[in-house]
Amino acid sequence: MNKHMLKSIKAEAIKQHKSVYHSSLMYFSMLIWPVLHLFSSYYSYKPFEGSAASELVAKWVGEDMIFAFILFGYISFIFFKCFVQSAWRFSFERISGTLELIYLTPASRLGVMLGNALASLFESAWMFTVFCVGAIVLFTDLNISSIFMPIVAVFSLVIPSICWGIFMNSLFMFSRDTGIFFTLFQTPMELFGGAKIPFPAFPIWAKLIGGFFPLTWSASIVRKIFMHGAIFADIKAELILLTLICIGLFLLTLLLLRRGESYARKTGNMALF
Amino acid sequence: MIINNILATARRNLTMQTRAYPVDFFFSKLLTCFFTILGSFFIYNIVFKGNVTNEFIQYSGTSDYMSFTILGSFMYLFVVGTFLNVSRSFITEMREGTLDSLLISPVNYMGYLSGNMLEQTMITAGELLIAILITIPFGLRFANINVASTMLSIALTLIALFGMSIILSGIMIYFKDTYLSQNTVFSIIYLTTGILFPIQYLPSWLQVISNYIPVTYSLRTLRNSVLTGLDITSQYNDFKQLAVLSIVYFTVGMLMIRRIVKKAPERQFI
Amino acid sequence: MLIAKGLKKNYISKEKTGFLKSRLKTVEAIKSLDLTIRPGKIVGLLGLNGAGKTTTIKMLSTLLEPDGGSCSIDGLDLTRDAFKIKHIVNMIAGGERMVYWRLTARENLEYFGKLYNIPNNELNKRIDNLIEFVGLNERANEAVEKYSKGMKQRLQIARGLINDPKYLFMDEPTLGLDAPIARDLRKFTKSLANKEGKGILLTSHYINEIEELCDYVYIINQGQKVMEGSPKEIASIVANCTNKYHIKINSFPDKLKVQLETYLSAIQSDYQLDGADGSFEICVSTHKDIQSELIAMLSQQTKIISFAAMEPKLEDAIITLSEVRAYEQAHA
Repeated sequence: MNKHMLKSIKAEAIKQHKSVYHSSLMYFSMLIWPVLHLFSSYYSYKPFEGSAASELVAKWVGEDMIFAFILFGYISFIFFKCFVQSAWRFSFERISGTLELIYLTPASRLGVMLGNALASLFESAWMFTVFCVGAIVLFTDLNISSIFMPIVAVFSLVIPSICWGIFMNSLFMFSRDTGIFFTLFQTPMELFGGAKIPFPAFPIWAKLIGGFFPLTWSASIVRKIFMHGAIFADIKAELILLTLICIGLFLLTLLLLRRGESYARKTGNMALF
Repeated sequence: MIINNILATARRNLTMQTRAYPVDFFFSKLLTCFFTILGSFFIYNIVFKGNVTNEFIQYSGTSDYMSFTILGSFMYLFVVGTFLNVSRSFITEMREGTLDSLLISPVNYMGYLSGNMLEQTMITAGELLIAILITIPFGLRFANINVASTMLSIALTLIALFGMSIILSGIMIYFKDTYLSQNTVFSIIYLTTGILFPIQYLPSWLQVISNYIPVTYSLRTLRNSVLTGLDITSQYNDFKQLAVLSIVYFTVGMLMIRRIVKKAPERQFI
Repeated sequence: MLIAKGLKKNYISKEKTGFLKSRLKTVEAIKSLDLTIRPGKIVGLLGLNGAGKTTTIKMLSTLLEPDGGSCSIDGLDLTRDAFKIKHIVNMIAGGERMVYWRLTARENLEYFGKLYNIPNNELNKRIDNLIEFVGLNERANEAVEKYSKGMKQRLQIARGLINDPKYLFMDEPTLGLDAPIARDLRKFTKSLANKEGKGILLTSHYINEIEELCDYVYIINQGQKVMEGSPKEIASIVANCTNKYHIKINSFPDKLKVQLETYLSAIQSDYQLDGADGSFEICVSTHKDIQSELIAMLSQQTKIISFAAMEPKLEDAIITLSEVRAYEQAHA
């Protein structure tokens, strides 16, 4: 990573941040929407809570921990979701013609993607903090083994979600029809990634799909750390899987960026819409 | 005149939509609906092995959880479709610079908006037909349907959604924003109107909000008509509330949009 | 120096033939184009219609990859050294979209400057100069969405100069600009070439602009070069087929009329008569240079008050060319 690339990352992150958070209402909505969605998820469990199957569920979710289960799943989901959203916003630069101007410069493409993703890291970090503070206030019985583990949790959210973000960015750069990618990645990620529904309860085919989303393993790590007092050894398997997925995503991103630009240079579809 | 406006607008929209994103747009919406229902299916069948609480049966009047959420998802699909299309119509014209050419013509606002609504209703109705086919395996049941009250519920719902989207349209033009306003409205409706769970679970202060959103009554009458098969008279109160809210939203919307759109060209430069 | 030889670009586009069906269609946007831009010179690119001007500019600015031919810019190869070339070229396109509306002018320039890896000190200085130059100083810290069309375009120009490019490609830069700003821009473009030695490629709809600014002009039509030369050369080459003479004569006897008509129809030419208050003005358009013959014929029978051979204008040349092309195509 050279100096020019660092500069591109920084410039892109600042630009993206200023473009998106031009209005103070953005900060407000960044909290209000997730809170509303969180409660929607929580209440959608209500028709079952206390039914005959409750004991069954306790084995996956933990006794009386449905809200905590959803909350930590949701916190993890938000991290990834922010990046998909920012990629989606980035894809609009094609329409406004600024994508072409970025390609006109000799800036590192990976740097621009990374900078763009980092801008939304700010968004998720802000929500993460608020939600975590909320969780600590709400639940006095959070079970955390040591002060070291929440840091592990943060890392296992930040790094995979950035990898996911730059992957999404480069994917969105490749195609003009970004709406379909959004649907293909965002909603299934929420469902199969186990943000709302316990992953271990899934049938095998759903597990196979979910296993590819880094969110699945990040959410599992976060829940184990905050709800079940996991120590490092308890999450080793998830960490290994996450690392492999991240490396895979990163390589795919590099490939997509290279192929994407040369494809755009051939077809001239960078600005056409 | 007004009929011409309606038809011209509807035709223009259909042409643009089929030209720009035919397959893409269609699959996006259907997939979203599909995944929402699949999520409910997992929770109901896999996590809770088909058990709901008596409380749920009491609140919703049915033990058919899957049909309950499928109808909720359909309604949400309709709400989102209408708002995205009708509410954004004016501001999109403003952004693309066609608003001026529209205002120069003696266009009838009501006709223009109804045209958008008509096109939207046709598209979403088509999507819903396919969605129904997809969701039958998940357990959508029509056995008890009361056709008359279902039709009335749908008709009133259309007027209500039309009114709501006109108001939202005005807000969008006024604040020159679509992203914040539309997503806030979607989130509120998703939580408070009983899309995925009976609103009785909500804290009472939130239920107060629910009672002022027509979608709440739309959902209740739709579910009662389709799932329980209640007739119009036994749902008299809900229908009355829905009708009153529809008229109120619609009137407020029309009064508001006229003023705001007229001022829009001036505000474009602020 | 920028030397392009035989540049070629095909677009493969999907043509929708049904709901899910489509077929591939190849369009030859640029068939084969030779082009040279010397430092310090302004080269015009004029197109008749859908000629491929923008495609050419995008190829030269590395946004599009040529499908054939070669191009070297200061010894760098357009395809192989695209990244190095990006440092020394830039593009300014007309229109108001291509900047970030929610950022200020300064923030926009900072962003792009950093993508070009310009050291911070220098970047700040350059931004100050550019903002001053395009006359946005008073509103440099305001969000672009509040700017007028012209201001957005001026920002666009500043952005195009942010990396101090050696070669600048301007695609309709004055499109939609107010007359005084367009004039300033022309002046500035000229000084960029003359004083700073930048090589500039300019496309414009305003032929007068090309005529005023360009040292050399390429005319392309449907991806092919039709003609090249200095604006004067082109005008006179083309104008050879349409010489125009405005002649004022004191009387127009019938005998002369018959003689003139016979003479002109023999060389497939024509004239128009504008006479009023006993004065006669005839306007002759012809393919040939018949100045001396005309004078001889007229002076025998009447008195010539004035005789003007019209200076050929580039605009006439272009119109003639496009008419000729349209005729050729219709009969191809």
